[in-house]
Amino acid sequence: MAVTDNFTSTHSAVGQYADLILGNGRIYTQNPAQPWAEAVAIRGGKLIGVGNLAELESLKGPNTVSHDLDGAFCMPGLHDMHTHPDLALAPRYSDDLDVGIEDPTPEQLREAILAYADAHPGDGWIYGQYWVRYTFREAGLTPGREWLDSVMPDRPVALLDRMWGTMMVNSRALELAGIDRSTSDPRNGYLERDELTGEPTGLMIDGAYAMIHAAMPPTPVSVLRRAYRDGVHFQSSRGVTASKYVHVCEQRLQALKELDDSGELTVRIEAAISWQDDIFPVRRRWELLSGERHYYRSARLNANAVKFHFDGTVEPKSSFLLTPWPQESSWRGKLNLTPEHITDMVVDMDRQGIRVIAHCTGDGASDVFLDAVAEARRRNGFSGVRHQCAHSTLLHPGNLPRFKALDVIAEFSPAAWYPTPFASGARSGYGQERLNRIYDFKGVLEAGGTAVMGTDWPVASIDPWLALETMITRQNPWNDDPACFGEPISLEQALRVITSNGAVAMGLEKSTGSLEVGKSADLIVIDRDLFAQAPRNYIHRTNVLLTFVEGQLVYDRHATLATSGLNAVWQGEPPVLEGKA
Amino acid sequence: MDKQRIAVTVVSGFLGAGKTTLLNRMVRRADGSRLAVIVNDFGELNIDAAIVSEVTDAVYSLQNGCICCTVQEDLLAQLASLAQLQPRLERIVIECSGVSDPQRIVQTLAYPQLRSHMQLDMVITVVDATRHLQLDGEYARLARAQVATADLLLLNKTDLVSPEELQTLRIALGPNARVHASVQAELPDALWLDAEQQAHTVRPLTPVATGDHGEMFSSRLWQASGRLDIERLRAWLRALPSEVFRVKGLVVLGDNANAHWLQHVGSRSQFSPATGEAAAAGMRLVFIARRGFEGWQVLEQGLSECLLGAD
Repeated sequence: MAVTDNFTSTHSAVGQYADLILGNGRIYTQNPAQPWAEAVAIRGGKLIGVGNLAELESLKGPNTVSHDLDGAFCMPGLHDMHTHPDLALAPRYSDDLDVGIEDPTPEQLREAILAYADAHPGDGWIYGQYWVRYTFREAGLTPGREWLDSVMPDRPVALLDRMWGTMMVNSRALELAGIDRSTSDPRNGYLERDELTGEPTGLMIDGAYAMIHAAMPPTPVSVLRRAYRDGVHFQSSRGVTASKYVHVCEQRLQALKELDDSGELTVRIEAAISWQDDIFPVRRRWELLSGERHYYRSARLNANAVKFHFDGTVEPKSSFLLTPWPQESSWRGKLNLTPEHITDMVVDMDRQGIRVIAHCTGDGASDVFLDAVAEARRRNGFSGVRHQCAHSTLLHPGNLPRFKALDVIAEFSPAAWYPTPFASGARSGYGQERLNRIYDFKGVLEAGGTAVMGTDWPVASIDPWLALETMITRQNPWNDDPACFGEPISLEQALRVITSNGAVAMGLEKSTGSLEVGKSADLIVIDRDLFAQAPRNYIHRTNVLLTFVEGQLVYDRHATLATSGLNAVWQGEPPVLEGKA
Repeated sequence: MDKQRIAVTVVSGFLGAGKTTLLNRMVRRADGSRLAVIVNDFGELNIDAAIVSEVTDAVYSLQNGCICCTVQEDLLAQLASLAQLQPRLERIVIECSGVSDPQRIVQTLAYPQLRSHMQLDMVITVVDATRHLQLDGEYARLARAQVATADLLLLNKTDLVSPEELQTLRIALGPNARVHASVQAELPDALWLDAEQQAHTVRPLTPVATGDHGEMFSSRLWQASGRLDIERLRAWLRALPSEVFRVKGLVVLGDNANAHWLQHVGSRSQFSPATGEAAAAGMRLVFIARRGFEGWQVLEQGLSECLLGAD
C-alpha cells in the first residue's frame, strides 16, 4: 500500500502528465512487439509511455520528475515464486532457550533451564535447544519427563536434542498438549512410552513434536514481522518485485498485513496457507481458506493459495518416484497424502479460486498432482487458477506437455540445479540417469509450458541473481569447474522465466512482468548490461540500483533520486542475510 | 523368548574400528539360520559391501549416505519388508555408518509399524582401542554417543595397546559399561545369540560352559512361581553389576499378574507382553555373566526380595 489511499477506479480523476520519466536507458521490455526502449513514463503507478525520450516529451508536465539513467540497463522486476524468509529468520529472532553448549551435561542443562526461567518469569513455555542423549547415559540418568519435572515442575518445558530426532518434554507440557497413555501415535513418529504402564516418558520422536507445537503459543507476530521485513528489504534491494511466501498461518498473514499497512511491504506477495501442520500449526485454517483470507488483501498481498507437501525430499529418499530408487528393489519413496485426498482437495480448492502449490520432488508426486489437476479441469472447467508444481525436481518426460495442456506452473528451485559439494552429494542419490534430467526448465519451456523460479530459501540462497545465472550455465557460479547439471537455457529464456513467467504464476500477467503501456511500473535498474558478457561469474554479481513497484521507488542504492524528492523505502547496500550471497 | 518378533542387533563403531570384521564373523556364525544383514557404507566405493557379499546372499546394502541420519524412512521401509519375508527371519543385523549416532536406528526400530514385528536385541559398539582416546571435536562427540548408546562395548585391537592404556580406556568408558576385550573383533556367541536356547541344555542353578568361549562366560537359570513387584524389579535391574551382560526370560508382574518377556542387555531393560500359556510354567530368567562372577547369591537374594508377599 502506498503512502496515501490513491486507488483508481472507472471514474477516477487522471492527470495529464507523467509523474516520472526515466530516460536514456537500455531498457529490455520483455514485450515481443517492442523488445527494447530508451525511456518510460509513469503515472499513478502505471506505465503510460514506453519508447524514446522524444516520443514521451508530450507527457512531461511542470511537476514531472525526469531522471537520466545514463545508459543503465533496465528491465521488469524479478519474480521469486517460492521462498521462506520467516522460516529462515524467525528462529534467529525469537527469544527461545539456547543452551549454547555442544553437548551439555544434565547439570549444565538444568542450570540453563533455571537461568532462562529466571530471566523470563511467569508460567509461560520454556522452549529451546539442545540436549544430547549420551551425556545423560554417561551420568547414569534417563532423559524424559521425570528428569525434567525434577528441574522444572510448574512450567511447560520442551527441548530439542541436537540430532533433531527427539523432543524432551515435562509433565506440564504433556498435560497442556492433552497427551496421556491413551493418546495414539502420529503416522510419522511416536511417543516413547513405559512398556509396562503405557505412560508417555516425555520423549517425543520425530513427527510427534507437532503434538507439542500445537499446544504452544505460536511464534509472535512481532518476530515474524521482523523476519518478513528483512526478507522484503533484501528482495527489494536485489530487484525482486513479486514473490510467493509459501507456508503461512494466521500469525504470518497478520505480520505481512502489518508490514503492508506501514508501507514496508515493498514486494507483491502471494502467501500460501499451509494445508498440513507439518511446519507449524495452522489455527483456523478453514476460516482462512473459506474467506477470511480476503481480510489481508491489497495490491501487494493476497492469500489466495494453499501449500501442500505431496512427498518428501532427496536426502532421506522420501521423494515419491515412479520407479524404485537406485539400489532399491521396491522403495519408491513416500506420498504424504492419499491420491484421493489430493484429488478431492485440488478440485475443491480450484472451485474456490485458490491456487494449489504442491511440493513435488519426485516424478511420481508430480504425476499424481497433474492427474488431480486434470480431474479438477474435467469437473470444474478452467477456473482461471493456474496451480503450481513446486520444486519439480524430477519430471517424467511424458508429463512435460501436460504443464501447458493443464495450465499448470512448473516451478524449479535452484537448491541444486548446479554442482556444489552439497548438491553433488545430496542429489547424487537419484542416480546418474535421473540426474541428467533434473530441474528440466528446458523440457517444460520447449513443450510450451510456463516455468518459473523459486529460491526456496533457506534451502538455497535467496539471491535471485545466483538463480538467474545458474539457470543459464547450470554450472558452479564461483569456480571454473566444467561440470554441468541438467540442461541449460538461453539468457532470453531465463529472463522470461524470472519476469513475465513469474507474472503468469502470480496471476498478474495483465498487469506486470513486462514493460508495456497500461501495465504497472514494476521495474528495476541495474549496474550492468546482462547481454554484454558471458553469464558465468558475471550475472550473479549484478548490483541493483533502483527498484520500482507500482511506480513507487522502493529501493535506491545510492539515493540518486532523493534530490528529486523521491525517497526510497530502502537505501544502501542490501542487508546481509546469508553467509554466502 | 519372545518368538513372535525378529531380534535386531545393531553394530556401531567408528570408521576402522573393526565393524566389518565383526560382521563377517556374525554372518559366518549364523550360517544356516535366517539372518539378514543391512550394511551401510560410507563413500561411493562400497568396498565393505563387496567383501560381505562374498560371504552370503542375505546382504542388504544401502550404498549411499548414512542410515542413521539420511536414510531413515528408507530403513523403515526396508525393515518392514524384511519382516514380511518367508520363511521368517530370526535375526537382522544392522551396521551403522562409522560417522553416525546409532540412536537414530534405535529410534527407528521403536516405530509403531515395526514394534510388533521386531525387537531391538542389542546395540554393539566396536571401540578401537588404539584410537578411541585420540579422537577430538565432532568425532569425539560421535564416539561418545556410540559408546553411550551401546549395550555392549567390544573393545577391539587390545593387542596393540599397553596394559596401562587399556586400563585408561576402561576407566574412560565408564563404570556401567559392559565391556568385552578382543583382538580381531571376536564376539562370543553367548553375548549376542539367544541366551535361552543355550540355557535349555543345562540344568537349573548349575553353572555351565556356554559354547566356544566357555572359559569367559557362565550362565545361570533362575526359576520361581509367584509375582514380582514392578518398581522393586526395576530398581534391582538398575543395580545389576557390569559383569552381568544379559538377563532374559519371563516374569509375572504386579497385582494383576501380567506375564511379560523381560530382556535386559547392558543397562537397558525391555518388557513385552507374554501369553498366559507362556506363563504357565512359571517365571524363569537366564543370566549371562562374566566367568568368575561371584555375585550370584546377592543377585538371587535381590530377586527374591522383589517377590510380592516377600516383604
